[in-house]
Amino acid sequence: MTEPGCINPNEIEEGDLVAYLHGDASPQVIEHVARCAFCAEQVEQLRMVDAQLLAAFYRDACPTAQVLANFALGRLSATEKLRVAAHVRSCPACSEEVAAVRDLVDETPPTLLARLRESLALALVARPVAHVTAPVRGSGWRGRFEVEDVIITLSAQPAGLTGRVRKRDASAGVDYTGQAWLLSEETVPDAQLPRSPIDERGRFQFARPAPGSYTLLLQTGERDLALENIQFGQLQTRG
Amino acid sequence: MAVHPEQSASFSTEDSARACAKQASRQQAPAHKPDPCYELFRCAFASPPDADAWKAILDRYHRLVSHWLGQYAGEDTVQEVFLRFWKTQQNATSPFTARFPSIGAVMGYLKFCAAAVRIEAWRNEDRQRLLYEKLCAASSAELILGRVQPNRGHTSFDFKQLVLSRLKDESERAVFEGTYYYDLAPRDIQAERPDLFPDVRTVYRVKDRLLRRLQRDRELWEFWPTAQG
Repeated sequence: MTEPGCINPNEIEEGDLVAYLHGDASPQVIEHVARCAFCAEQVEQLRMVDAQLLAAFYRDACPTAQVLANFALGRLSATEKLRVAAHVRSCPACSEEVAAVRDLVDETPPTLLARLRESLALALVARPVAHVTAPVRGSGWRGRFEVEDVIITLSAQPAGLTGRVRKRDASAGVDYTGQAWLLSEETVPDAQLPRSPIDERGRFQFARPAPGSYTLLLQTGERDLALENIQFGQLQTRG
Repeated sequence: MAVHPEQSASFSTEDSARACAKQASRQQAPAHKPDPCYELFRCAFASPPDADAWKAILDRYHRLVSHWLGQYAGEDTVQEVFLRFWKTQQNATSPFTARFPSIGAVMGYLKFCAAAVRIEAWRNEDRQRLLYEKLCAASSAELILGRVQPNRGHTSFDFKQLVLSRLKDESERAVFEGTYYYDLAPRDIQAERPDLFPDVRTVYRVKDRLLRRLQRDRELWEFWPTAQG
């Protein structure tokens, strides 16, 4: 019985099947592999060995993920930093990884406005239950809002907005300390945001804002509360 | 309510978790002394560890870690970040407070763990993509891909040592390193080392000789994938 072998060894030289593997074989070699089952099998075996070696060794000369993360975050000693930097300069893959980690570090923290809008999205929205136009030394109004067991009263006057938040059946001693914010669709990220502390009795006040529609965000206790569509008109004075 | 023996008298783990969540959601500077978020970490790594504090950390920082992992965020990678953080602290010899004097230092280290996990996930994905591309011309690509051993573990270490010990000369080392460490094409290897390879055919010949020798090596047989399995 004869061993299975190449149909014509004279047609194949050392290196030809590896060139075939890389898609760089001559037309004669391509034709030979198409006709010779033995060489086609050899190509498949070389391909598997090649793949296993790549799986095992690919980027083995690169710094480990730990070292590269330390490098990107500036946590290496001076000597090691120089060594890793030399590699990163010549290795596009590591260079890309370092850039990605640094982007992560340098990421601009969210603006105050973005954080407040996030809070607004999660806040309980209080519904208006009473609204009275009550000119007081000019134009103004009073309003009452409720949500769950919380009542908020507001009073808009020419001088500004005052308000109070309290629980419906709260016993004495409830601490309402927190922050109140006035936000509008027109508010830009760099703007100085109207803000008022909420004292322990739930009181807050703002200087009168520019005319427009606002949302009042109250951060008090465990909850954030939103009062929407708070209107401020042009200041009217009695003649 | 869990109160850790080393914990400051005024704070329970539950208090710290609540205050930390509140502080974080408002992005406030810590209003409490000590910082409630820092307290959670300190208690989680105290002796004995406070499981409630660790659970509160996982709940509180899960989203942040996911954010740091970006496109590689998933349950497994997020868990890997926390696991890595946990293991490093468990193996440390100095006390937690000495290694991490502030919540900023803790966050810096957690971010480092996330960065390392992110790089590893990136590399694994890159390696898989590369292998798939290499094998897509094979008649049984999926089959072979499933049998190629990933680059990890003791077996991989033995395999690597054996393979490296079989490289005979500088030409073989240059072909091997260029091909498998950096995924360079034969033409690029020739361009890098014209002193060793006058033309690309020489690179093919050296690689052919090397692959066939490694393939025949009896000590390496068990490591090669086969189409038949």
